Amino acid sequence: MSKQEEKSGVQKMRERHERIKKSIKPSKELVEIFSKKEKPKTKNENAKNKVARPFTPEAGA
Amino acid sequence: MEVKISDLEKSVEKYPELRRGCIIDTNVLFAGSYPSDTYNDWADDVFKTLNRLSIPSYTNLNVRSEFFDLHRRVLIPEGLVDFYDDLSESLDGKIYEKLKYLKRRAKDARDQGRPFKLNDSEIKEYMELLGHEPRPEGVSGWTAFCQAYFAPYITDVWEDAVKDLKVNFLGTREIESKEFFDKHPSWSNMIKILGDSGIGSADAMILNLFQESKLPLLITADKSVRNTVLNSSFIGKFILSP
Repeated sequence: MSKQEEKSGVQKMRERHERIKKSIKPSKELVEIFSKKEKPKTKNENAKNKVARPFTPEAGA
Repeated sequence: MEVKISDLEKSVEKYPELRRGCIIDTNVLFAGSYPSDTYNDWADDVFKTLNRLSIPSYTNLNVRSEFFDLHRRVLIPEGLVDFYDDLSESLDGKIYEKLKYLKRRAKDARDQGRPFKLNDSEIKEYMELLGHEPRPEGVSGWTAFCQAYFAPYITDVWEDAVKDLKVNFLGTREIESKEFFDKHPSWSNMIKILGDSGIGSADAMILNLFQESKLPLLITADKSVRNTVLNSSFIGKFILSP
Protein backbone atom coordinates (compact mmCIF):
# COMPACT_ATOMS: atom_id res chain seq x y z
CA MET A 1 0.00 0.00 0.00
CA SER A 2 1.43 3.39 -0.95
CA LYS A 3 1.72 6.36 1.46
CA GLN A 4 -0.95 8.21 -0.50
CA GLU A 5 -3.42 5.33 0.01
CA GLU A 6 -2.75 5.30 3.76
CA LYS A 7 -3.79 8.95 4.18
CA SER A 8 -7.34 9.53 5.37
CA GLY A 9 -9.71 11.73 3.41
CA VAL A 10 -9.60 14.34 6.17
CA GLN A 11 -5.79 14.34 6.07
CA LYS A 12 -5.92 14.90 2.30
CA MET A 13 -8.28 17.84 2.83
CA ARG A 14 -5.92 19.31 5.47
CA GLU A 15 -3.05 19.06 3.01
CA ARG A 16 -5.19 20.60 0.26
CA HIS A 17 -5.90 23.60 2.50
CA GLU A 18 -2.25 24.03 3.45
CA ARG A 19 -1.10 23.67 -0.19
CA ILE A 20 -3.52 26.40 -1.33
CA LYS A 21 -2.59 28.67 1.60
CA LYS A 22 1.09 28.48 0.66
CA SER A 23 0.40 29.12 -3.02
CA ILE A 24 -1.75 32.22 -2.54
CA LYS A 25 -0.18 35.56 -3.28
CA PRO A 26 -1.64 38.98 -4.06
CA SER A 27 -2.22 39.60 -7.75
CA LYS A 28 -0.56 42.52 -9.52
CA GLU A 29 -3.99 44.14 -9.86
CA LEU A 30 -4.69 43.79 -6.13
CA VAL A 31 -1.33 45.33 -5.24
CA GLU A 32 -2.00 48.24 -7.59
CA ILE A 33 -5.46 48.88 -6.12
CA PHE A 34 -4.29 48.88 -2.53
CA SER A 35 -0.80 50.35 -2.87
CA LYS A 36 -1.19 53.79 -1.29
CA LYS A 37 2.10 54.43 0.45
CA GLU A 38 4.97 52.12 -0.24
CA LYS A 39 5.90 48.80 -1.76
CA PRO A 40 4.00 46.01 0.00
CA LYS A 41 5.69 43.27 1.93
CA THR A 42 6.17 39.97 0.16
CA LYS A 43 4.39 36.79 1.12
CA ASN A 44 7.60 35.33 2.54
CA GLU A 45 8.21 38.33 4.76
CA ASN A 46 4.81 37.87 6.28
CA ALA A 47 4.65 34.07 6.32
CA LYS A 48 5.53 33.97 10.01
CA ASN A 49 2.39 35.94 10.83
CA LYS A 50 0.02 33.57 9.05
CA VAL A 51 -2.59 31.57 10.88
CA ALA A 52 -2.13 27.90 10.05
CA ARG A 53 -3.30 24.82 11.89
CA PRO A 54 -0.55 22.30 12.59
CA PHE A 55 -1.31 18.81 11.38
CA THR A 56 -0.95 17.10 14.70
CA PRO A 57 -3.73 15.19 16.48
CA GLU A 58 -3.03 17.25 19.60
CA ALA A 59 -3.70 20.51 17.81
CA GLY A 60 -7.28 19.55 16.99
CA ALA A 61 -8.16 18.00 20.32
CA MET B 1 -31.56 5.64 18.90
CA GLU B 2 -28.22 7.27 19.51
CA VAL B 3 -24.87 5.68 18.65
CA LYS B 4 -21.33 6.97 19.16
CA ILE B 5 -18.46 6.63 16.72
CA SER B 6 -16.44 4.57 19.23
CA ASP B 7 -19.31 2.05 19.41
CA LEU B 8 -20.33 2.02 15.76
CA GLU B 9 -18.69 -1.32 15.01
CA LYS B 10 -20.57 -3.01 17.88
CA SER B 11 -23.78 -1.26 16.85
CA VAL B 12 -23.40 -2.60 13.31
CA GLU B 13 -23.05 -6.15 14.68
CA LYS B 14 -26.24 -5.67 16.69
CA TYR B 15 -28.13 -3.75 13.99
CA PRO B 16 -26.83 -5.00 10.60
CA GLU B 17 -29.22 -2.65 8.77
CA LEU B 18 -26.73 0.13 9.61
CA ARG B 19 -24.62 -1.25 6.78
CA ARG B 20 -27.16 0.15 4.30
CA GLY B 21 -25.57 3.55 4.73
CA CYS B 22 -25.84 6.95 6.33
CA ILE B 23 -26.69 10.54 5.51
CA ILE B 24 -23.92 13.02 6.29
CA ASP B 25 -25.06 16.40 7.62
CA THR B 26 -23.38 19.56 6.36
CA ASN B 27 -21.42 20.27 9.53
CA VAL B 28 -19.74 16.84 9.35
CA LEU B 29 -18.69 17.30 5.75
CA PHE B 30 -17.53 20.82 6.62
CA ALA B 31 -15.62 19.58 9.69
CA GLY B 32 -13.87 16.99 7.56
CA SER B 33 -12.89 19.49 4.91
CA TYR B 34 -11.87 22.52 7.00
CA PRO B 35 -8.78 21.88 9.16
CA SER B 36 -9.54 24.51 11.81
CA ASP B 37 -13.04 23.24 12.57
CA THR B 38 -13.68 22.15 16.16
CA TYR B 39 -14.76 18.70 14.99
CA ASN B 40 -12.02 18.11 12.41
CA ASP B 41 -10.43 15.23 14.34
CA TRP B 42 -13.82 13.73 15.18
CA ALA B 43 -14.77 13.89 11.49
CA ASP B 44 -11.51 12.10 10.70
CA ASP B 45 -12.59 9.28 13.06
CA VAL B 46 -16.05 9.21 11.48
CA PHE B 47 -14.89 8.89 7.88
CA LYS B 48 -12.14 6.40 8.74
CA THR B 49 -14.65 4.22 10.62
CA LEU B 50 -17.27 4.38 7.86
CA ASN B 51 -14.58 3.42 5.36
CA ARG B 52 -13.29 0.56 7.53
CA LEU B 53 -16.80 -0.83 8.08
CA SER B 54 -17.73 -0.31 4.40
CA ILE B 55 -20.75 1.81 5.31
CA PRO B 56 -21.63 4.05 2.35
CA SER B 57 -22.32 7.70 3.09
CA TYR B 58 -24.66 10.02 1.20
CA THR B 59 -25.36 13.69 0.91
CA ASN B 60 -27.66 15.89 -1.18
CA LEU B 61 -28.29 19.29 -2.71
CA ASN B 62 -29.25 20.97 0.59
CA VAL B 63 -26.00 19.84 2.19
CA ARG B 64 -24.00 21.06 -0.80
CA SER B 65 -25.56 24.51 -0.64
CA GLU B 66 -24.95 24.85 3.12
CA PHE B 67 -21.42 23.46 2.69
CA PHE B 68 -20.44 26.27 0.33
CA ASP B 69 -21.92 28.89 2.62
CA LEU B 70 -20.04 27.59 5.67
CA HIS B 71 -16.79 27.59 3.70
CA ARG B 72 -17.49 31.14 2.55
CA ARG B 73 -17.98 32.25 6.16
CA VAL B 74 -14.57 30.93 7.26
CA LEU B 75 -12.46 31.29 4.12
CA ILE B 76 -13.26 34.97 3.53
CA PRO B 77 -12.02 36.04 7.00
CA GLU B 78 -9.02 33.73 6.64
CA GLY B 79 -8.27 35.34 3.28
CA LEU B 80 -8.73 38.84 4.71
CA VAL B 81 -6.18 38.11 7.46
CA ASP B 82 -3.69 36.79 4.88
CA PHE B 83 -4.38 39.83 2.70
CA TYR B 84 -3.62 42.05 5.71
CA ASP B 85 -0.40 40.13 6.42
CA ASP B 86 0.73 40.45 2.80
CA LEU B 87 -0.14 44.10 2.19
CA SER B 88 -0.46 45.74 5.61
CA GLU B 89 2.21 48.36 4.93
CA SER B 90 0.45 49.66 1.85
CA LEU B 91 -3.11 49.73 3.20
CA ASP B 92 -4.74 53.02 4.08
CA GLY B 93 -5.71 53.79 7.68
CA LYS B 94 -9.32 52.62 7.82
CA ILE B 95 -8.72 49.32 5.97
CA TYR B 96 -5.56 48.73 7.99
CA GLU B 97 -7.33 49.25 11.33
CA LYS B 98 -10.37 47.12 10.41
CA LEU B 99 -8.22 44.23 9.18
CA LYS B 100 -5.91 44.50 12.18
CA TYR B 101 -8.97 44.14 14.43
CA LEU B 102 -10.22 41.21 12.31
CA LYS B 103 -6.87 39.48 12.75
CA ARG B 104 -7.15 39.90 16.52
CA ARG B 105 -10.65 38.37 16.49
CA ALA B 106 -9.34 35.45 14.40
CA LYS B 107 -6.55 34.90 16.91
CA ASP B 108 -8.99 34.95 19.83
CA ALA B 109 -11.16 32.35 18.10
CA ARG B 110 -8.13 30.18 17.39
CA ASP B 111 -6.96 30.46 21.01
CA GLN B 112 -10.41 29.29 22.09
CA GLY B 113 -10.21 26.33 19.70
CA ARG B 114 -13.06 27.36 17.44
CA PRO B 115 -13.21 28.32 13.75
CA PHE B 116 -13.54 32.03 13.04
CA LYS B 117 -16.71 32.72 11.03
CA LEU B 118 -18.18 35.95 9.70
CA ASN B 119 -21.91 36.28 9.13
CA ASP B 120 -23.38 37.63 5.90
CA SER B 121 -23.78 41.17 7.25
CA GLU B 122 -20.14 41.28 8.34
CA ILE B 123 -18.96 39.97 4.96
CA LYS B 124 -20.94 42.78 3.29
CA GLU B 125 -19.18 45.32 5.51
CA TYR B 126 -15.81 44.07 4.24
CA MET B 127 -17.13 44.22 0.66
CA GLU B 128 -17.82 47.90 1.22
CA LEU B 129 -14.53 48.44 2.99
CA LEU B 130 -12.43 47.05 0.14
CA GLY B 131 -14.74 48.58 -2.49
CA HIS B 132 -17.27 46.51 -4.41
CA GLU B 133 -18.22 49.12 -7.01
CA PRO B 134 -16.63 48.42 -10.42
CA ARG B 135 -13.68 50.67 -11.25
CA PRO B 136 -13.24 52.18 -14.76
CA GLU B 137 -9.76 50.68 -14.97
CA GLY B 138 -10.75 47.17 -13.89
CA VAL B 139 -12.44 45.00 -11.31
CA SER B 140 -13.33 46.26 -7.83
CA GLY B 141 -10.97 45.91 -4.89
CA TRP B 142 -13.25 43.29 -3.34
CA THR B 143 -13.38 41.27 -6.57
CA ALA B 144 -9.59 41.36 -6.87
CA PHE B 145 -9.34 40.22 -3.24
CA CYS B 146 -11.76 37.32 -3.80
CA GLN B 147 -9.99 36.21 -6.97
CA ALA B 148 -6.63 36.11 -5.17
CA TYR B 149 -7.52 34.93 -1.65
CA PHE B 150 -10.89 33.14 -1.75
CA ALA B 151 -11.46 31.53 -5.16
CA PRO B 152 -8.42 29.20 -4.94
CA TYR B 153 -9.93 27.57 -1.81
CA ILE B 154 -13.58 27.43 -2.82
CA THR B 155 -13.04 26.22 -6.39
CA ASP B 156 -13.26 22.43 -6.38
CA VAL B 157 -13.62 22.20 -2.57
CA TRP B 158 -16.89 20.25 -2.94
CA GLU B 159 -15.51 17.90 -5.60
CA ASP B 160 -12.35 17.30 -3.55
CA ALA B 161 -14.30 16.75 -0.31
CA VAL B 162 -16.78 14.20 -1.70
CA LYS B 163 -13.96 12.39 -3.53
CA ASP B 164 -11.49 12.29 -0.62
CA LEU B 165 -14.13 11.61 2.04
CA LYS B 166 -15.86 9.06 -0.24
CA VAL B 167 -19.33 10.58 0.02
CA ASN B 168 -22.03 9.76 -2.56
CA PHE B 169 -24.54 12.26 -3.89
CA LEU B 170 -28.30 11.68 -3.75
CA GLY B 171 -29.53 13.50 -6.83
CA THR B 172 -32.98 13.56 -8.41
CA ARG B 173 -32.56 10.09 -9.91
CA GLU B 174 -31.62 8.55 -6.56
CA ILE B 175 -34.44 10.36 -4.74
CA GLU B 176 -36.93 8.96 -7.28
CA SER B 177 -35.40 5.52 -6.78
CA LYS B 178 -37.00 2.87 -4.56
CA GLU B 179 -33.47 1.79 -3.68
CA PHE B 180 -33.05 4.70 -1.30
CA PHE B 181 -36.52 6.08 -0.56
CA ASP B 182 -39.86 4.75 0.66
CA LYS B 183 -41.53 8.11 0.04
CA HIS B 184 -40.49 11.22 -1.80
CA PRO B 185 -39.36 14.02 0.59
CA SER B 186 -42.19 16.56 0.76
CA TRP B 187 -42.66 20.20 1.69
CA SER B 188 -45.49 19.29 4.08
CA ASN B 189 -43.28 16.88 6.02
CA MET B 190 -40.41 19.38 6.07
CA ILE B 191 -42.76 22.06 7.44
CA LYS B 192 -44.02 19.65 10.10
CA ILE B 193 -40.43 19.02 11.25
CA LEU B 194 -39.79 22.77 11.19
CA GLY B 195 -42.97 23.54 13.14
CA ASP B 196 -42.39 20.90 15.80
CA SER B 197 -38.74 21.76 16.38
CA GLY B 198 -38.06 25.38 15.40
CA ILE B 199 -34.81 24.35 13.68
CA GLY B 200 -33.61 26.07 10.50
CA SER B 201 -35.28 25.22 7.19
CA ALA B 202 -32.07 23.76 5.73
CA ASP B 203 -31.76 21.41 8.72
CA ALA B 204 -35.45 20.51 8.43
CA MET B 205 -34.94 19.60 4.75
CA ILE B 206 -32.06 17.29 5.64
CA LEU B 207 -34.15 15.67 8.38
CA ASN B 208 -37.03 15.29 5.92
CA LEU B 209 -34.67 13.55 3.49
CA PHE B 210 -33.45 11.29 6.32
CA GLN B 211 -36.95 10.47 7.54
CA GLU B 212 -38.22 9.46 4.09
CA SER B 213 -35.09 7.55 3.10
CA LYS B 214 -34.27 3.90 3.67
CA LEU B 215 -30.92 4.94 5.14
CA PRO B 216 -31.03 4.22 8.88
CA LEU B 217 -28.28 6.52 10.15
CA LEU B 218 -27.78 10.29 10.21
CA ILE B 219 -24.39 11.69 11.24
CA THR B 220 -24.45 15.27 12.49
CA ALA B 221 -22.33 17.58 14.64
CA ASP B 222 -25.32 19.85 15.25
CA LYS B 223 -26.83 19.38 18.70
CA SER B 224 -30.19 20.82 17.65
CA VAL B 225 -30.46 18.32 14.77
CA ARG B 226 -29.51 15.47 17.15
CA ASN B 227 -32.08 16.58 19.71
CA THR B 228 -34.79 17.00 17.07
CA VAL B 229 -34.28 13.39 15.96
CA LEU B 230 -34.29 12.11 19.54
CA ASN B 231 -37.43 14.14 20.36
CA SER B 232 -39.37 13.05 17.27
CA SER B 233 -40.81 9.89 15.80
CA PHE B 234 -37.88 8.77 13.68
CA ILE B 235 -38.82 5.10 14.08
CA GLY B 236 -36.03 2.66 13.31
CA LYS B 237 -33.57 5.47 12.77
CA PHE B 238 -30.17 6.06 14.37
CA ILE B 239 -28.30 9.29 15.07
CA LEU B 240 -24.55 9.65 15.52
CA SER B 241 -23.05 12.87 16.90
CA PRO B 242 -19.92 13.92 18.87
